Amino acid sequence: MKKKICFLLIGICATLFAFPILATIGLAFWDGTISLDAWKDLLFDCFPFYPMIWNSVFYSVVITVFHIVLVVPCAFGMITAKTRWKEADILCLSDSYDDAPAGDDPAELHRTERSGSFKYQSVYHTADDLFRIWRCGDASVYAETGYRTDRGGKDGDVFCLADTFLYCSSEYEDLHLCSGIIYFCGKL
Amino acid sequence: MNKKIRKRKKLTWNQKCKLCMLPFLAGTMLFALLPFVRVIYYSFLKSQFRREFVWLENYKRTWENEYFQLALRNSVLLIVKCVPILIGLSILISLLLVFVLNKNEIVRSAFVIPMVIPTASIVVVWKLFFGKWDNELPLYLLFIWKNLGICVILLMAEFSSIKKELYEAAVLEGAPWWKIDLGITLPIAAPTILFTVLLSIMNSYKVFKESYLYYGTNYPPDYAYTLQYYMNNHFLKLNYQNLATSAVYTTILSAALICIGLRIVGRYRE
Repeated sequence: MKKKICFLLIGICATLFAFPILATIGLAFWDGTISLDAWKDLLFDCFPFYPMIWNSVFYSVVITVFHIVLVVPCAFGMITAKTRWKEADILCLSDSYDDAPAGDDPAELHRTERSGSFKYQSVYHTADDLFRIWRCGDASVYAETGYRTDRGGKDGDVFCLADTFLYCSSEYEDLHLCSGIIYFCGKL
Repeated sequence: MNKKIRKRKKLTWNQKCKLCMLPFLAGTMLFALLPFVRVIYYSFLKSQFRREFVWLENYKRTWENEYFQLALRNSVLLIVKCVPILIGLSILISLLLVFVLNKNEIVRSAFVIPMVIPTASIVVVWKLFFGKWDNELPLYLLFIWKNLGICVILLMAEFSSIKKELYEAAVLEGAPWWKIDLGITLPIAAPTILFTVLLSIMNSYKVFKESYLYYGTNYPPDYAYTLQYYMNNHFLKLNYQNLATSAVYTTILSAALICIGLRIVGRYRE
């Protein structure tokens, strides 16, 4: 009986948590009536959508491979090495401000929701010192251009380096989190 | 014939393990410490154009800024109100999942899926249900909904590792379930619970993305204006000095919390 009550309680709780996801799926098929119009528009009529899909696929594959290759030895090292500051290291990157600089358009943020922060903006300047890519010669212009780049605009190859750096650092945080999870599970 | 015999120094096991962690440490250095040093440097400058040191003037000005005070108060309130609820709920769900429901995969997935779903797709549903609520509750619920999964995963891993013999002995002694959990489970899992608390506090600073998508503006209602908004708005105005100073303030607050937490975790481990 106790088990049934527990199951009921946690079942209600789980339904509440899953509900927003189910509702989102439901909305994808709802256009006043049940229809596939939204899917048709997206998959057959919305041509700008295709490059985004392939970019996402490419990005996910590269990042997943990168994570697997790097995270396993890192987590192994964390579990077995005798050091005092492992947990501090996991938390270190959790503290960063990895959210995008907000523009006026939330949809824009949707596309680049994992990019940009002051911290990385600062790294741009470091990268700039290192690779001598400061062409604008003015901090504010550079920052503005960097910001435009964050939001999807491309101002030539010169900013690709900063862009790559941004994505690497953004993904590095996830890498830390993955290693952290494996570390904690691996201690068992 | 004198031959120089080169002795290759063999790495110890511990050194090899530390070598495995090298990418980790290099990343922390490159992506966290180095940029942060730069941020501190900016916080002492008058402006990015006139690189004149003004030392603590920026700190004083930021501290007196009413919007910074509002943002700081809201961020602290978010931590104080949401983190205890998040941790309490995570402990309860993890205990039930591990000890009563045998880690039921469907139920577990319901709590973990929000972690992997993009926030942008969920905000539509949130607006549909909470659009007319003129308070901070939708944001708090979004934060708890999004972060419960990671807490449940960490706590379930810890609870699963506790030796069954301890429970069997307690049951033989006739201890009720709540006494078993209070006397055995929670003290053993205390370091991981504390770690989960710290992780949740750090995640509470990152609620900006959800908040921005929900309110759709750089200037949300006063109750939702957090430190991230403050920093973001100054970033857009290219006011790096104010931004850097508030970033340093926030980091000091986080670092203090982390230090206290890690010290408590260390004591538990000993």
